[in-house]
Amino acid sequence: MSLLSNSSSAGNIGKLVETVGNIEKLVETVTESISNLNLSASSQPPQPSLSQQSEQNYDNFSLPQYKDITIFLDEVTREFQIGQLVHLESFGLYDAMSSIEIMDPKMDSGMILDSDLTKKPLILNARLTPRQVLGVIDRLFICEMTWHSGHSLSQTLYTCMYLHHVLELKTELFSNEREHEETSSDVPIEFVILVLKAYILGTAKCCNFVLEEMVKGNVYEEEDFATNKFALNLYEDFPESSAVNLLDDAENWLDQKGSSWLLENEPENWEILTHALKSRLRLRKSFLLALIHLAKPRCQQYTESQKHLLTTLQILTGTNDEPGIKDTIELGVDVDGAFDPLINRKLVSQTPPRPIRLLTMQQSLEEIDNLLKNTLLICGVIEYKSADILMNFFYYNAARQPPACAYSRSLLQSTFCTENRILGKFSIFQLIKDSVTEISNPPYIYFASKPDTDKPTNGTIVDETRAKIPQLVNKFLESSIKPLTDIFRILCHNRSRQRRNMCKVLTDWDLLQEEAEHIDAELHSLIKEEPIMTEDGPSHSYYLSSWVYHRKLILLQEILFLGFELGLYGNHEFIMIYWYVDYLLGVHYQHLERMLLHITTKPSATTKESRKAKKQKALRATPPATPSITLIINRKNMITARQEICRGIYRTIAGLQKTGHMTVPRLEYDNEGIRFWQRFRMYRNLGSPTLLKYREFKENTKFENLTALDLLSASKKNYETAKTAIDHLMKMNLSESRMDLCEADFKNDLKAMFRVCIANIVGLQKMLQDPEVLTSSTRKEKKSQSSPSPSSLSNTSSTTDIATSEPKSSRTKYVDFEFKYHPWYPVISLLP
Amino acid sequence: MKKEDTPNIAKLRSYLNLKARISVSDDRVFNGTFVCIDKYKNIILANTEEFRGVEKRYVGLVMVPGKHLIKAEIENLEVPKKNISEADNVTTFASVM
Repeated sequence: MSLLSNSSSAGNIGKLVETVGNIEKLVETVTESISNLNLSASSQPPQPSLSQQSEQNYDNFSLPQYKDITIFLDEVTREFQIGQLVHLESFGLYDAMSSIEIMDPKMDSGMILDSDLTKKPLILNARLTPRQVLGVIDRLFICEMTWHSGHSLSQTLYTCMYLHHVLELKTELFSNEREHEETSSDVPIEFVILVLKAYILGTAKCCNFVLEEMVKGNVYEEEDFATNKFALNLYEDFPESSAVNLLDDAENWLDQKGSSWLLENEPENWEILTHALKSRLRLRKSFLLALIHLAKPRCQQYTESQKHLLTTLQILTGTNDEPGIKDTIELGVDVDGAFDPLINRKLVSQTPPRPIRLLTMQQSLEEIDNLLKNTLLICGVIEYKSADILMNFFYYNAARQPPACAYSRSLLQSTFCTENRILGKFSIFQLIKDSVTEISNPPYIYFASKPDTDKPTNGTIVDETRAKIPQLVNKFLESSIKPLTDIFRILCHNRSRQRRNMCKVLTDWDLLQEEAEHIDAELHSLIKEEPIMTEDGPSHSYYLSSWVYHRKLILLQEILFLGFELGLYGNHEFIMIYWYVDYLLGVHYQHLERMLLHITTKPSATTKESRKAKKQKALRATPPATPSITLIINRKNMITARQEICRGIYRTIAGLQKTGHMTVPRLEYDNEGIRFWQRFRMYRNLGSPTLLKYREFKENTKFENLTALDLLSASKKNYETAKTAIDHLMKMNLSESRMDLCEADFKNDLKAMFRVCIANIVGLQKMLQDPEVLTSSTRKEKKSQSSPSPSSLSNTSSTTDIATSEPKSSRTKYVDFEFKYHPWYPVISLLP
Repeated sequence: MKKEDTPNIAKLRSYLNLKARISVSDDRVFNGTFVCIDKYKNIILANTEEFRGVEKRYVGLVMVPGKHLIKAEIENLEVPKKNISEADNVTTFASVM
């Protein structure tokens, strides 16, 4: 084909000579096309060796003329300055960096390695022993799980040579096996053509289903998962039903013939070997079935899938009378040539592969265990009870350790929303309505009528209002779709992405809040809501925007907390971050108080009981408020717990700053003010809450009239208060906490917080008795007594002096922050 | 062309963007556009094709380290081309074969 097209293009050029005769241009094009010809010629089989070829090329006028510049290069490069480059103007450093270095074994896939020469080829028609089959199966499993953990197919599954030739594993393959005398034995070929084949095809089908999920773009390619198939066929056309049948056949054969052969030939181990093979086949089958059911549209077969996932888990861990996979991983033996880790050199790729290490069998088992358990949880998600339960699940699932695998994170997103259906069942509108109602508890009228406004109304005044309300509410719902689904999606990303993307959507939420406030105001006037009179003046309910603000505040806090989990902050920054979180939590607490006020205060009974008033009342009637009240109270408790811990932490740090144990490193290109600006810059464009300034931070954390000891005992009290709040939260039952889907994670989180409190209280107790803390504290008191500074200005300078210039010799201990119980809150201690 | 170039370097510079053929120590030949070179004869070729005997493949942008360089050739523009239509006929014939 290529030859033909080349010759025809050359023919065109021939015509060009006669007609155009533009020689300069011609030489150029001809050189190019002729060099093409050379290439295609070189792919013809009868080719002489390289040196001969190049000599021939000189004689052959059909090739570009080359001249040898090897010696010239030696001469000319001697004239180069050190570091001098001769390059095209258009050729930059970036291009140079992206070039592949020849003769570097890591990059140059064309290089012949020593291992290539010693490599043993795979003998496809070798009669593998059961132990060898086990070896291949287990290695393939390791490859599969390594792929799941984020590595490329070319370095994992594709390294299995049997995978590429699995369809060739047939009886005929063994018909002329006499050629390999040494490999022929009496091992039944079914171990290869049935057991191994079934397992490999089963694995390939599982990978098909996983790939199908992963290419939806829910997770980050290359970062979470590699979907590049290198244009190879992974048996997509092989029907999954045939794979399942094959697995069944293999199991049956093992039961009947395979086990009896094993009994004869390996009488000591026949039982465990048969079991090991069988359990792997069964694991593959049930895993494949689970994936098949999960892939069905609209989450329709999640219950079936759940069943198979449970079976898979059971086979994996084993039962009392049956050993699990993990008990039989030592039985397999390696097969020469079955796996070629360098297969990726033969595949087309833009970038050289990264060096990877396959998981161990133990890690692979943990990986699949994690995958199965996470997928099981997702199967449970479709039993929707409330928007808040769903949201809580997403939050705790996002924080899970070890992190949920990429497949389950992608699946959770597909489950959550596919084709605009939430959990395959209802509309996004419904989810938003539920979410708003659960916490704001707006009057029935808000979401009563269907949001289609095309219906003709009767034209009376009341009906006009009734028509206007759905219009407004509908507008709000439409605007909320993206921000709300974004949060759900973000919580399915990897942890670092979560933070990054939360920062990105903040402005969306800010805009939504502004819009919702306008809509709320219009709604207030439409249903003639009477404001509640408070100390600060009349207060309207703002049901919709309250919900938006609530969600936004959670995001704001999460962003700062995640910074701790991801290790983004330096120890010297902790004080400002915790101080800011404390502020955000405080704002959130007040906001919840406000919402609570509007939920609990029923609109006062109208004195004039006219007909109109009655109607008005009906419009303003609200659903029973108790669920919302418990929800808000629990939230408030959670906020109190977090806030007290944060306060405890930054007060401890402030105290230790006073004693001089906590010092700020002097950085040449950085100061605390710039840090502060940087750390909270994502909040700068938000309408609310008010951005705090560095000056406020400095003034607030100076604690001028307090001694270090005061601060340390104050933070002890903070931890005590937090403990009480956590206790309250621990005692909640499910209907109150709304953690139905993530109860264990929620409880573990609370326990971890509790431990942080206790450990910090113990730490503070030690600090309060520590002679170093005591002396430095008293010394400072003396100092401040001896020289009572009148102006605040000189006072600030003296405190900074103390923090930095006091002789270090008096303090031998340093402050240690250890996030050993909770990723968000450290345990602070003084270590020698 | 730069002022400070020696005549040799200027000549080398004129080779940029021409087809080069580099043989390396493990019997491979790289055919590509000459785009960059440094004092240690590390050469960067663009749009490169790799030949090992009859095996040929596209490798794109590569850097051939000077220490592995056996032979360097550059397209010779000075040699006048022979009758092109003749060459054309021959290859067409060859490809039909």
